[in-house]
Amino acid sequence: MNKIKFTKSLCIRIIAILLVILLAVVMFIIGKQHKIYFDNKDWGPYKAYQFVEVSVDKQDSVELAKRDRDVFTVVAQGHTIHIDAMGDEKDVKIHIPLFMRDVLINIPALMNGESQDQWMEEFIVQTVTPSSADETVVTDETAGLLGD
Amino acid sequence: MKGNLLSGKKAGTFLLNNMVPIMFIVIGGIGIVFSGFSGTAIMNEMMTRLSRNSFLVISLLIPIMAGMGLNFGMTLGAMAGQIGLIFITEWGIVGIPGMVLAAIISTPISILLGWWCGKILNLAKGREMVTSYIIGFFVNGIYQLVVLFMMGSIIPIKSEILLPRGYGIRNTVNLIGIRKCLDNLIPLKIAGVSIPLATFILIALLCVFILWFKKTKLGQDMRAVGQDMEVAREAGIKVEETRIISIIISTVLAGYGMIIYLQNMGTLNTYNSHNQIGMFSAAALLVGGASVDKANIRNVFLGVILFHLMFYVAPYAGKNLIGEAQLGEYFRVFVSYGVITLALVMYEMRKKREGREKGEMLAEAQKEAK
Repeated sequence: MNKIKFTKSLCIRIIAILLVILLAVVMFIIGKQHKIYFDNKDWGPYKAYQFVEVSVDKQDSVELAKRDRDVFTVVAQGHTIHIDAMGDEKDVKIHIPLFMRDVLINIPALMNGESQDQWMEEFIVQTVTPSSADETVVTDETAGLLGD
Repeated sequence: MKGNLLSGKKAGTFLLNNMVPIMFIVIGGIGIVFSGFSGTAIMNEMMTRLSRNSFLVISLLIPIMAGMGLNFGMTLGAMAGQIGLIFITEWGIVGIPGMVLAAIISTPISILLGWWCGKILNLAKGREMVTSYIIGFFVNGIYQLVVLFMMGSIIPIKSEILLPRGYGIRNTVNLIGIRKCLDNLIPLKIAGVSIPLATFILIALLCVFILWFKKTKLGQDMRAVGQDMEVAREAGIKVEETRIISIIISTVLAGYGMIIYLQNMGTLNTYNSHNQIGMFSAAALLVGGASVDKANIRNVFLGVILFHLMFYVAPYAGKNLIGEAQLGEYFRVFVSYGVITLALVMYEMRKKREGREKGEMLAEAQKEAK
């Protein structure tokens, strides 16, 4: 059986491949897009605010009335949330888990000092796809010329 | 008298060698007049199309250098680029990191496909263009199998890009996450004309790479193989390996080119985007005055400008001239196929003419020797 000789060029190639893989991982982490949904709804003992203003990082703030929900689109995992609930202001740093695409944050729970796993949860958008309305896939543009 | 004849012959040769670009300059000029577009509108559109297509067209240069003609197999790289884009859309990776990740994903697929394509082209020496063209159709079948049946069933895809039936990717994938992210990275506007500077910097870097590559040992080997395979082999060059490497480089660059192209478009037409890429890129290069055996960077830019100028103005010129935009549409497709045919015919004609001239010179020399 031939033994693999670790020549200089082989080592350089292996290092190059590893660097590319590392770059891919970094790109995955820093380029991952998340959606942060904010709920101004009753949560356990905490009541929803009449009016609350929320902003994420340096994005424009949004205003939420009682029982409102709004969304911010962000890139990467670490973000700063600024909440102004009728004069009661709070800045919170959050870290969205990498494989959690969308998260839902409950504002009353956050403002009342609950832990992050209480006021932030994964949000999976429920979509209903009617089976009858399947899309016709066009794989050949010239197919129509051939006739039935 | 003899001087006049010589200069007349030179002019004739120049016209014959540059027939295609001259023809397109004339068509483009007429098209501009009748289209009614302003200079700014045309410049804007040309800048967009130049940044969108140049990378793809440049990817054709290296196989020409290695004597393998126009690599219609560049669609293989385009498909690899598209697979990269499908994955980043599924994973929700956006912006420049998304583009880089798509390029990284496409690279091993392009290398594998390019290596395989090169192997086959080595078995079909002298028929590389038609072989690579057919390989493109064959790999399109495999691409469809993977994208239409394996994605969602074997390859985990869960997002909205999946067909409602639960497997296969939709006809169109919205690339909103990376749309124009490279073009708008360094915004620049001069006299109302938007210039995608970052894309042009990337294209310029590729041009520098091509120029540098030509001077390397491998580049010189490719040129030697392109001129005469047997002589190159006698000189100790690994002909087959060199040809395979040229196709691999072309395929990888085509993959990157497709990613740049689609970030500009903002929409991936999953099953059709790659189909015409090889044809249109080859046509653009030929319009720039390149031939099957000789092409350079100048041909790329001239070709992209002239070819896409015709693409842009023809429908409007057709509409204004006879009230029918369809004629312009027909005209541009007809011309792109026509120009490839014309270039191939002219290549053969030139080869025959050169052979005849060499024969005549040899006969003349023999006559003088007697």
